[in-house]
Amino acid sequence: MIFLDPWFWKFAVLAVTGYWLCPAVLKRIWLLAASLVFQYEFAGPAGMLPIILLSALTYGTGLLLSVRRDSRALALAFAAVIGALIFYKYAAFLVATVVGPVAGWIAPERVQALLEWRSPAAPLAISFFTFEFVHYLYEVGVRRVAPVRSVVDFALFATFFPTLASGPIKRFPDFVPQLAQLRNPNAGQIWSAARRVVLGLFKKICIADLLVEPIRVLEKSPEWSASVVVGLAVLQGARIYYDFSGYTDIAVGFAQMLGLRVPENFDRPYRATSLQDFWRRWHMSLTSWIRDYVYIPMGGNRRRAAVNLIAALVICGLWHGAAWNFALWGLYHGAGLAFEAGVRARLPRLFAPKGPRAFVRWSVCYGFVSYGWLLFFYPIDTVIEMTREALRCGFGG
Amino acid sequence: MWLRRLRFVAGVVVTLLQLLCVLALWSNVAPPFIYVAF
Repeated sequence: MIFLDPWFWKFAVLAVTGYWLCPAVLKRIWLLAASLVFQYEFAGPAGMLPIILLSALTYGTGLLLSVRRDSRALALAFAAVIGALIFYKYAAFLVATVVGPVAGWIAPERVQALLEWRSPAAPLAISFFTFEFVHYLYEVGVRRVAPVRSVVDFALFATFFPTLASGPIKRFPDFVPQLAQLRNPNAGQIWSAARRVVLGLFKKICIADLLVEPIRVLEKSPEWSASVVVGLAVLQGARIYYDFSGYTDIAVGFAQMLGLRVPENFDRPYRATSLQDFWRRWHMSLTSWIRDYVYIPMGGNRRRAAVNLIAALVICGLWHGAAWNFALWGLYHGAGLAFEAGVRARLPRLFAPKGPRAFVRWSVCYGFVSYGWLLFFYPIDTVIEMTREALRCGFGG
Repeated sequence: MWLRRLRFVAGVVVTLLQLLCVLALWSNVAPPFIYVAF
């Protein structure tokens, strides 16, 4: 995690105190300079090139679209942004998936070279900034929202250092207007921001990282008894939550120290009493992005709702990484959500907000989500073996 | 008023304890009791 790098803390002290000391007119420039230094340190000069080129393309397309409606320019910009993400993150996976199965019977030696090809290392945070650019292009090009005119504001939206590495995924209509009135936070806000940063570090270092050891112990168990599998599912679910929500707390805390608001990512997700509720509380900046720019444009719940839901969740799963287990995790949640929507439509009384039914729903939802973490973290073969042995052995081992 | 003060003081104490744990673990001088729970 970048936030645990000692360099980051020296940088953060300098960047935040310098920002507080800066006169109001220079704050945006200072913040942009700090964000570029951060990007240079962690991405290197080669890693900065894609974000600079894609930022310039997105910014320019936004300005062009405000002058005249040009669906070709919009399509090209979408293709470049999404294409960059696919090239860096999914190309080798797609080649292996599409070409791999037929490699044996078409020109094996040429196919072998293709299969051994690997994309260059993905630029820092490409999954996050490309999603922010797709959001920008969609809002400006399709929903006709006014584009950002200031280069500095757009560059800050693209590279703002607290959220650059792992989000939360920002929305420009919320973020950019704040840049017009940058001012130092008061003592109460600084204290609240500092508490948030400390809480984030505590979640990451004192909870998530300490869960790694018991997870390793369970992974080395001689057999997958039901208690081992349940233990692994629960601990992996806790670890990913404390790890990522800790990261988010640090990012939100640093943004608050600079007097800026960024979206939240988690709202006590393991209290959810249904899958729909869970996805409203888990990684909210990503799930709202998937809803707005994948699910609704596909047709949302107007037609083929179940298919759209499953496709959107598979894309959500693949966003986490180029591997089949992430796709399966998305498929699992998509199918669960579609099934739950069907039950909700036929038996609405089961979804009463309080009472024993809510507890039963919480148990089912927590169990479903926890089992899903096994699909997320382990290869499919391992999960099948775990499940088969757990059902055979039971809790006795 | 006193309730607000109490909440503030509790917040300070909790944050300091969290910071203490973070610094102890981060600098690898964490007392072994932290692992006892597991």
